[in-house]
Amino acid sequence: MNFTSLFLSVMVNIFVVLLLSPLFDGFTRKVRALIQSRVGPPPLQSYYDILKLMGKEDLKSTINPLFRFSPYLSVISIAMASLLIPVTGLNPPFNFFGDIFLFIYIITVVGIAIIITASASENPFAYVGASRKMMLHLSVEPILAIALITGAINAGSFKIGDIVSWYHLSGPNVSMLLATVCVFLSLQALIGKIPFDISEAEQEIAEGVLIELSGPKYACLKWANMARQVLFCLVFSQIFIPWPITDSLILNTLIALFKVTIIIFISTLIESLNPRLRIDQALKYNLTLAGFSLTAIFLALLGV
Amino acid sequence: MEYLYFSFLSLTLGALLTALIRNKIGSGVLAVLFTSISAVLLIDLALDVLFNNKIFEEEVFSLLPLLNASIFIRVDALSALFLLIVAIVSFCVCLFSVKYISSYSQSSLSFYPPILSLFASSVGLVCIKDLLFFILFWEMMTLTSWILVVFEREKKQALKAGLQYFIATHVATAFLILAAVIIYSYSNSFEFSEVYKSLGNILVNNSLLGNFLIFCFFIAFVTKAGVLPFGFWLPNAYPQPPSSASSFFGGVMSKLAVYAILRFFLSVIPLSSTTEAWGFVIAFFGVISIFIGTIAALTQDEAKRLMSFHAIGQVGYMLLGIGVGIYFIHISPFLSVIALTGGIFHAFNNSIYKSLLFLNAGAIFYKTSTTDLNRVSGLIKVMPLTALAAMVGALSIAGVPPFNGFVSKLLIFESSIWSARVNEALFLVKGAFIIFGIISIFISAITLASFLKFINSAFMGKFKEEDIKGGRLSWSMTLPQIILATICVVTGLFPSVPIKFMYDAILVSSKINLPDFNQVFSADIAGIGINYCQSCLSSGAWYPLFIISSTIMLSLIIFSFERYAGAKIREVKTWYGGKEHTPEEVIYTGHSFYQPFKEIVSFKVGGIYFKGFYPSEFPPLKFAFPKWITKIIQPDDWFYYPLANLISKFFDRMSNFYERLNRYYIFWFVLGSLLVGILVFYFYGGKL
Amino acid sequence: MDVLLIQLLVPFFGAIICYLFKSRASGLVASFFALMTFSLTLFNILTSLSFTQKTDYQWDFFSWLNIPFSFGLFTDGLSSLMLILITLIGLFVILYSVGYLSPNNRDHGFYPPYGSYYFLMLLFIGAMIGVVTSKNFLQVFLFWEITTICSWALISYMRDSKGIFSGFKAFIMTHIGGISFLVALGILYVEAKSFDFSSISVLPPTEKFLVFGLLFFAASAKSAQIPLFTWLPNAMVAPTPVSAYLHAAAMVKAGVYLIARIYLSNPELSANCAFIVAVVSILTMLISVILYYIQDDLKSLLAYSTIGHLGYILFGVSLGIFGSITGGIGGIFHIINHGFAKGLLFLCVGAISYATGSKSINELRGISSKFPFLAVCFIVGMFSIVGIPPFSGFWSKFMIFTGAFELKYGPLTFFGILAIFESLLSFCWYIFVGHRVFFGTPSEKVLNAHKDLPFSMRISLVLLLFFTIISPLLGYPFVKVLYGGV
Repeated sequence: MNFTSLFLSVMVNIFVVLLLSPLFDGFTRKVRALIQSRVGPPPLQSYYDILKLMGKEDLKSTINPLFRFSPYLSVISIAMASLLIPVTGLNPPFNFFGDIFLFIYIITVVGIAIIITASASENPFAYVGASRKMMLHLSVEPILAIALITGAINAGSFKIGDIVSWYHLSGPNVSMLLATVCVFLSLQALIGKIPFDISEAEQEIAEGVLIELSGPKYACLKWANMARQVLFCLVFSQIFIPWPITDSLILNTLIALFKVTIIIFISTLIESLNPRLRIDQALKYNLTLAGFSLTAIFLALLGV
Repeated sequence: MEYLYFSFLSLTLGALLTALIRNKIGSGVLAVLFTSISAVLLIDLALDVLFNNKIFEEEVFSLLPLLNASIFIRVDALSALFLLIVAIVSFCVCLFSVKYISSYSQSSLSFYPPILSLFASSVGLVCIKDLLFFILFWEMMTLTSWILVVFEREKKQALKAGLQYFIATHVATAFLILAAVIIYSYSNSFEFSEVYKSLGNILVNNSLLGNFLIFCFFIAFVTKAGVLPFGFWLPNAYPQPPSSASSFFGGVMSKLAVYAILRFFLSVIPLSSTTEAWGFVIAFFGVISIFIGTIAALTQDEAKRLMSFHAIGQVGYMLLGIGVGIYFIHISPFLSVIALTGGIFHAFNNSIYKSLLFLNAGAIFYKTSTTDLNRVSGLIKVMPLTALAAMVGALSIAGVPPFNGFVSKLLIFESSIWSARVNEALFLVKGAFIIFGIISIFISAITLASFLKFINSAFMGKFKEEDIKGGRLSWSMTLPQIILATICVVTGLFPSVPIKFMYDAILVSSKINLPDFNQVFSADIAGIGINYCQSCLSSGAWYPLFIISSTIMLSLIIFSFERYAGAKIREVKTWYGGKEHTPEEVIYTGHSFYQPFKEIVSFKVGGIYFKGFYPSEFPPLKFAFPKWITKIIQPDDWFYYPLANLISKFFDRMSNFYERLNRYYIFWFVLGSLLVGILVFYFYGGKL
Repeated sequence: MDVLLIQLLVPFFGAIICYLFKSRASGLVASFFALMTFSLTLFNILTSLSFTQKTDYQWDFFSWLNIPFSFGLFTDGLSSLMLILITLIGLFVILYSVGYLSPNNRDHGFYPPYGSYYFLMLLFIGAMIGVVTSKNFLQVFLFWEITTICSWALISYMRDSKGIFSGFKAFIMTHIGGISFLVALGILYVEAKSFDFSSISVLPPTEKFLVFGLLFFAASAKSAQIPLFTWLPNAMVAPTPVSAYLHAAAMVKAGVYLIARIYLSNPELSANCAFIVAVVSILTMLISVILYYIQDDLKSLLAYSTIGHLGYILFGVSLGIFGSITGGIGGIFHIINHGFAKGLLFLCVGAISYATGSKSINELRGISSKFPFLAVCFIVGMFSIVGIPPFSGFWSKFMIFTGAFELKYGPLTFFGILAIFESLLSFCWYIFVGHRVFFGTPSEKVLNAHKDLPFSMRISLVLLLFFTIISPLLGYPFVKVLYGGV
């Protein structure tokens, strides 16, 4: 890859995940409102929210320095994770620099950043939210890992670009289909929306990890949550349903955005029509799903 | 080479001299002096060997003609790596202990001499090429560490733990001694290369005996490393000594057992297709430790016990890597060296961050006199540097990039999963290795959860003023932690140099032809790319330079954005729902973390409560020989005394009979003379 | 007059002198004579080439036997090893007794006159020197019986009913051994016409086996192997220095010395002989380990341990007879290692009973908080006995194990595994007892103990500790010479 196409690719990825995510969040709110028989906010409302919050008063309730810096880390790590997803073509911009394990760990760093923010805020509600967030993360991460590993075994390489290239070329087989289904079933938990937004439960623990945040920090975390939605939908759509791919950069981006919109629509439907799960129910669901997804690995091993 | 002798000498001299000084600070300073001399010499020697690819060999003292054993020193890349670990950690531990020991009431006489002898025997262990003296240093390590485990002699727990520890490891060493004498009867020498040759012969002619010998070695090393189920003593024993000693135990001692496994399986046991199954056994026990150890760690509330369980889990990672490596050493050499490199690198990394974490626990103990996570909170206010180092350590052990744990875990995960692509391996074995890999990925997240619990309970949260003594920690306690944290960061950011060293260590100590470094890793200053086979190029990668630089650029952009927005900062109190609360009411204790998960993994089997798959207490061992055995083997009661009584009664009777009346005297007299006369006539009749 | 004879006579002379003193001074005089004996031994060893020396004396007492026979003294590697052990430990024990035999002794107050005690001890040292420097079996027998008498007197020193019974029991049991020794002497006289050590080889096979069996029976009675071992635990009623010397370092070693001497002088003993020795020693080891577990008294524990370790030494020697030189020399090496370590352990237990008045495992707790030095002594002694490197027991035990597996002979391999197993079991029980007695919170008896130990006890413990640690270095030259010679 030469430098210009690399640079362009990086810019497109960050643009889609960071700058277009509030638009998708607005879309989500509109769909949810329509289901609930309301008019709902305008689609650009999330942009206005973030900009407003950036300038609002920043309440400092602790002298812990980590409280100041970790919200930003969550946004930055989502941006870094996005650089490992292919949007403009078959290969992500950082294909050569990291593989699926780096991706899994950067997702973990996102979670760590939010948990550190919560614990630095000294509020017990935040701790409850942090504890739940960690448990959710550790129960849902194996599913993603297993799915990516299935791809790796089939493709013969741990790099995301190679997996997508192989999958695009050889078409679906049983193990990859099974992996796709598993990722889809865990997508709500990965994105962190109802029924799985247990750590930011408004009614139950006063918004949990977000309780002490205000102003720019609150803006960052909200932004991070929006970007997370787009990121994981991109993961699902670009890695597990990589068709069609053309040669043109703009066309690929538009196809990606279209696929993401459809998936977000489905996810919002699930969100609006379901209650929130309890943490132990969520844990059991995810762990069972993880155990079930191991069959995908065995099928991949058999070469099917 | 003389550096090695001088460093050993300085450590021994230090042990003797600190035994004469009663003053805690004085003996501490003396210990630091001797340890730093030894550390500098060892680091110099180790870097010389590693950078210039040298090997030093020398025979110092021979026990001929009694036994064909000698103090045969060999320093190659593998030994040099572990010397490096010993040097760094020993220096940090001693520096930390100077002030730390003053928080204990026991005398420092039972701390510095044993720990300096422990350092000396560790140095000796990694350089010896002879089986008898290897056993000698091995037991000396156990002996000196036992003295440290029972440091607090009045505590019942410490005594029980020390007893368990010594007995368990001594039983394991008995296996080692048995294997050593059996091999000696075939090889007539204790030196490793002779043992290698005769083991080769034994495996060919009598494979049952050969596998039994490998089993003996395995049991001995695996018990010392703390792999479950043999390492049941470890969670009880590691929390007992002062934290600086625990730091050395968790950081170096268990890694020396891993060194022993590496050394023996690469240089002493000839690996053929029959013995490769041992690789699978090693990986299997590794995964059991990973799984049970880490999940049990998640349920612990006491900081040092939590870390000891993690020590068990992390040793499992190393064994997984080594096991995969040994299994594939003939089938797929590329995969094998990647796995072995991952295992050794994990040992190196683990020693750094585990020591760091135990030193953190020590700092917590120093300030608050307790390591119970339910009682400490908010310590970042008084120990900011310690909290930073603890975060680095916690993130390293969880394997988060860009710290060093990530690189070694990457290699281990990828190599165990890549076994699916090796066509010559059995299906079940491939499936098993993949399951092992996935379990270790899952457990990596649990490690993260467990250490976030540690950080959150101990350092974050509301600060309670009353329990703290003194102001900030002195530099002698913070500096070692900073040193270790820096090494974590640097090794993670520039992994190509350490990986070359690990690779050389494997090449030099193994007796098999393995591929060249540049064929397997494409390494430069920016990072490493991994090739899993001759034709599959760069199937794994980690280039920290690019990742870090882009992170820094992005953060600059976002910060400037925030600056531009210019929000005002106002200080307020934490909000609890509108009410004022005292600190005790709002502290979130360590116990409350992850309650639902704890409930999933705890259960009761047959009267024993398993908390996180680990029994909360072992059933007491009652041991007695049956009564009839003890009766038989004491012949006094049933044989000797009755016999003696019988004989004395008989003679009593005779004497009674003799004493009655005078005529009986005359009767005996006449009878006796008649008898004598007959005898005399019979024998000498002819002569008279 | 040559030095060997002076070395033999000095203790006897000193015994008589000591008897004339009544009070503590007799102890000091005895120490002086013991020191002289040790210096003479040292002089002998340092001035002899490969530790061999000979002297012959022609005395006509036994000319009517009509055989070539003379009294004489000689030393070689084995004798020198034993001489070091006997004289050095004798010196330490006598020094220790100066402090131990006093009315302050909490365990059992001793009152003057002490003359008879030192008389018997010095007599004993002289008799042991006689045993190990004798040139032939008859001379050995002479000094052998003197040791029997001395042990009977010393065990009953305290003149209470238990002491008298134990002394008598020991006397009878060892004397039964003595009778079998006499019968063996008779057979040797009739068949081989000589009392030399090597005269066993010239006998026809059945007689060889018979004589060896009788001599082994005598040795096993003296060294407390099965079946005549029950006198040793009873003999623990003696004052502790007596137990330390007689039943750890000297008297019981006379039996193993005899067997070792037979091994070294007769290269052609049959496998049956070796087999008997091996079986008896292994059985003894196992029995002693089983009986450890039910003991409450520290001294009986050490007595059973002595029995077990003498089994080790005999097992090593039996390996030598089977043909494994490493095993044989290992057994001989174990003599000196075990002697020093056991002596240290006994004297340490004596110090504990002096200070607290109790030897019971159930009553004693937490001694290390009051007497850390005693804890160090006991732990070093315990590790040396059990065989933890780098202490002394490891080296000799390792050589014995090596010898057991070296011959690749089925039953021997099995015995070797049993020996390793016994070593493990004894370690477990020792460390358990050590933990119980020394660590933990002090019990009542310990808290009421004396504050200080007498100076003479402390100095002998320090010196003995030093020698226990260096005993492998001490024994190494002798063992090397023996190895070369075999």
